[in-house]
Amino acid sequence: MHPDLHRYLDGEIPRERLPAELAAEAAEWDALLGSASLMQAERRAPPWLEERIMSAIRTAPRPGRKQRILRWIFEPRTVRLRPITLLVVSGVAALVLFVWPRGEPPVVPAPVTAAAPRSAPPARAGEEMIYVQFVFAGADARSVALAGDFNGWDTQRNPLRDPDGDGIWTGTFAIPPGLHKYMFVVDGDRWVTDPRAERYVDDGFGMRNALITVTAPRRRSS
Amino acid sequence: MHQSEAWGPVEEPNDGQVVARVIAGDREAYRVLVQRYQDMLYRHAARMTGHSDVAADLVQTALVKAYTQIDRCRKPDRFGAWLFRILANCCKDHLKDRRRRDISLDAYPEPVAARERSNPAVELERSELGVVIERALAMLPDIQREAFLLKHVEGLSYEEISEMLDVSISALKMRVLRAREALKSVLEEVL
Repeated sequence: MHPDLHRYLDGEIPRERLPAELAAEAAEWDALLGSASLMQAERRAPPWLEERIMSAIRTAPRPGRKQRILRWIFEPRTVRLRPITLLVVSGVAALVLFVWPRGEPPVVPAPVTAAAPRSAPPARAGEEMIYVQFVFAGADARSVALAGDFNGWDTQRNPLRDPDGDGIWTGTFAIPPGLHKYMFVVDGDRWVTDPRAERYVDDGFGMRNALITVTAPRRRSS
Repeated sequence: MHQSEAWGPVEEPNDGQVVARVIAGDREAYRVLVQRYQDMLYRHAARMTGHSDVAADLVQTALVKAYTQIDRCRKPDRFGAWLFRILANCCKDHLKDRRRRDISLDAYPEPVAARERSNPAVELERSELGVVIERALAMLPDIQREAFLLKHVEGLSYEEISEMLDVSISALKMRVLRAREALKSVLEEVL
């Protein structure tokens, strides 16, 4: 078909502007499309369809906020993102994951190592603490407590327990990192040096204090 | 919106007003939209699928879907275009299954009775030509048939069709052009 004829049929040019040789073909198309337009009036929806649709509408979910929320949650959607935005978000996420300071690291018992004797100050509020388990074997003891420079040599603050009565007394206490002197206090008034300590130091009263070095676990580096 | 007859003729609410009432919870208000669009939807679905019963089902599906999602209609005043896009997608989904694409030529209507026309001889001839056109249209590819029907049967502008189908005007013009050429060659064989 001639392009001008299409332009005429699209309503872009009037019939008078068509070349004379296209006039007959244009008339044929006018008749044909006139018949096509009659098809519009020839077909209507069946009379029962309206009621059938309205019956379905009455039982259909009501449009509203709940439907919107459910659709928002469950419907797949396309997310458009600028590459630069993606890079920035990825960078921030990496920073938070690998560089940002973390909270308290997991607490593990500190290894006991030999070190030069040095007195450690009592624990201060807010200071980093390491949980250390102490064990004392005393089948005849009625009570056992831990006293050291970390608790001001208090004989009651850190009691050990022997819940099953097998004579093995244990207690896990928060100790600040550093070198500490300590002793066990049995039955409230008997000071006993820890026989399992690796190092000792004289206490100035004719006995020996046990020594323990408490070290903080290494932080994971970035 | 609804005026008493004492106040004059009842004014037809526009689509945007009806949509607002439906969203506010008035289910029965949706009947206005059903009445307004069901014929056009049915005609289009019938000519796209070739089956009256399938067309009725598709129209119902489209109208119910439009109701449940009516709050997503961004331009309530253009509800008709949005609704038609839903129906067009329903038709496409139906036609995707090639096994179901057994367009029945028997589904097309008989010529309109001559007594309904002012010039019986001429109108009979024209309506018979309409049946031939309809049968020829059934042989066109779906997207060409869809564009031709909306342009030359429904008499819509390219701008309106573009909004309804979400297709560019240049693409639509090309579809209609192809449809005319295909139709012409089919009719030349038949007539």
